[in-house]
Amino acid sequence: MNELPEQLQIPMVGVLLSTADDKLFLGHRNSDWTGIAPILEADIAFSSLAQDDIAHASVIYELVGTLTNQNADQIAFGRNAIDYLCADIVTKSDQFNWASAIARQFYCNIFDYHRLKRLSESTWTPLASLAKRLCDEQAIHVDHVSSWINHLGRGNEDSKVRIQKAIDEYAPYASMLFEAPKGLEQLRDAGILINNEDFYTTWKKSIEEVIQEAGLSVHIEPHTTEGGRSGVHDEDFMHSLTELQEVFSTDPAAAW
Amino acid sequence: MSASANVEVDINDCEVADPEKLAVFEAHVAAGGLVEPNDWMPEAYRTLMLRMAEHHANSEIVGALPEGEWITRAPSLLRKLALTAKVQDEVGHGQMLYEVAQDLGKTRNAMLRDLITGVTKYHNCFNYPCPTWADICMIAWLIDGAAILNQGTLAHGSFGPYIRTMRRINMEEAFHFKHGEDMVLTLMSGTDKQKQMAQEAFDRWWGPSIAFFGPNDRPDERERPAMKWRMKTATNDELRQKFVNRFAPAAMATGLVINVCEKGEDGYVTSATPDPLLKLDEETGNWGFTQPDWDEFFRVIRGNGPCNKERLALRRFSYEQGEWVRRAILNGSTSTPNNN
Amino acid sequence: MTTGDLTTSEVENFPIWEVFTQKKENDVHVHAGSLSSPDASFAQLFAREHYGQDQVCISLWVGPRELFTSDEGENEIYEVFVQWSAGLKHEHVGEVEAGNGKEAKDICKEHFVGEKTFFSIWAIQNSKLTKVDGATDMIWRATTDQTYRLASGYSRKVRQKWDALRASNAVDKYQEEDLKETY
Repeated sequence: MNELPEQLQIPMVGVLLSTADDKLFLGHRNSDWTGIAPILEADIAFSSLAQDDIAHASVIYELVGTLTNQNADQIAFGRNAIDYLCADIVTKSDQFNWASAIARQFYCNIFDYHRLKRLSESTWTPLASLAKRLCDEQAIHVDHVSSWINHLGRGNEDSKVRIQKAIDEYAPYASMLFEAPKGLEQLRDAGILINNEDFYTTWKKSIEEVIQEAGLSVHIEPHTTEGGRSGVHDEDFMHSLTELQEVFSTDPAAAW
Repeated sequence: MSASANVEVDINDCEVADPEKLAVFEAHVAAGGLVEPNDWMPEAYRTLMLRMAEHHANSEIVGALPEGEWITRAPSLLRKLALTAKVQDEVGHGQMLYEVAQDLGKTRNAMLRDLITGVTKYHNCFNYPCPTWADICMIAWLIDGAAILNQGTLAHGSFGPYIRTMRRINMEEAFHFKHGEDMVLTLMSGTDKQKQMAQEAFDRWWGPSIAFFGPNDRPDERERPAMKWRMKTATNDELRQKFVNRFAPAAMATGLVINVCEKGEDGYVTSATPDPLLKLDEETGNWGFTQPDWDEFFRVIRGNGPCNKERLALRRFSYEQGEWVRRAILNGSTSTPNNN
Repeated sequence: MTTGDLTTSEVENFPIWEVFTQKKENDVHVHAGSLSSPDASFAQLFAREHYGQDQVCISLWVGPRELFTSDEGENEIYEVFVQWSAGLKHEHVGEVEAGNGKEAKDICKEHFVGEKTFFSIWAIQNSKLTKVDGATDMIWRATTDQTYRLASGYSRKVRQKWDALRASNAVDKYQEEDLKETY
């Protein structure tokens, strides 16, 4: 189907925004590393991931814009905090610790991959075709970050301890990626998005496979609290949002 | 972004080359011949070339820092992407130039450590503060514009690995410059506040841009090793004039005023007056202009620039914080190739 | 803070790897550059993002530098590369079967160079070369618009902005003239 029924537009915007906001802020935080990562070559490679995430967010915002009649920049930069629907994990400060950056990337990239896979099965064609293409690129991210997990887990005692610590620290935030965005239920009931009861278990299995291969362990419980997806944001998010909007907000109507 | 190679080597300190071999080498280079890492070369050539590549590499990875700080505050999706890509390119340029230097006999670790401890230098324009978004726009337009002029001539040099690297770097530099031009034009077509921000940033960066090409030419510039051995193929003043001829009219066409500025110790402008020398000489086609403040230039080179400490502290932080990572992956667990 | 001893001890430098890329279908693999990496898996990852992203890239090869110039080796297929003169890049010319590196270079000279002048030959065992095929394992990002990182992405915009600026300057000039007459 090419045209989305009117009553499903707002729910779809919710789902798309949660996807794009995750990616925008993940790329936003990861771009911090451009210029100062531990190895020049790794810096270059990691920066590609940050750019991909922002590019992905951009095209998803454009799709949102076809429903809300706004441009991508207005959507990306112009909302109040409560209207951003990203999970807390994407803005949680990594304290310039490479292990934290990798652990966070790991949870998020694999989540993004499985989410895009499901979205690519939507009956709304514009979404399905976009998600399918983005999912192919997302596979590169999964390989990249899994390689790092493996190298750090199997590197030496010190790196093993550090990456394990980061994996443990981010585990509770990782499960909050699964807080459902408003509108998901409605779209599933209407058959626009596929039922994804096994989304969590599939993701968890992918995570565990890589972790075990790296000689590490992971313990994740399903989330129970409300967080970013409901517009309830923490200090780290507010810091990221302030940065994001710092220049834009001096004149939202201006061209930059 | 490049460095103009103002790294001098006292060639009397270098081992004196076999006169016969030297003559052959010099004839080869003078005739346009190229030199590869395994070729015989005078020690002075090796040393000078290495220092040039090292200085250039240092400049790229230090130059990446002030811009890197603005990525998260870039005011549109396109600017975010483009600025991230620009900084990524600069890290890439640094990486490639360190490889060139490594071919000449100095390891990457040694070079990074020397940079951080202040033993080696980087281009002094990166010692200045970048207080606003417009500074990022001006750097991309003016400094990358200057770099392109400079690097265009370096691409005709004599050392193979360096000129091959220059071709890749120049392609990316073209993107940096064009994007910079786009940003400046956007500001100068924008609101009064944007235009004012642009003018103030231009006042901060015009001086460093014309100083970019290095001190005024010495009378015997072309006989000195750097030009004799074709590491540089144009003089500082030649490039500087070319830059002014291109950028002065362009700046004025956007509505910017070219001022002669005085700066405080902190790198901020304390006074700005329109450049009285800025006139086109119809006969020569050259624009007159006031020379950069050379006292300030040398003061900043000697490491007393406003942001020198800050930039090197960040490079040191990156290096030290990253040590555990390098150590962990050093004895690679995957030593066999993974073919598809 | 900017001088004085570093708190870290030096970690050994990583070995150097050479990267070859093939841009379009009928192109040969050409030397793209070098990089430092502790192993083949990172070398491949780094190569993709550093040498596979400047323009469309459909295939990428990475191998340790010392193997390209080595005279040693085992009996197998070697990929061989020729640098035709100083200043040029090494190009893939084909495959030879040989007992070691030296033999591979000699056979390459005989079969692919002949009487022509050349500057340098590299040869590496096929089994030691990591090959990435863009068809099965994406190198170049084809799904999002990559022109944001190319000069060509800005040429038209810049031209349009210059035109608009000049036009508005012309208008200002015109109005300025107008006012002069009034007063």
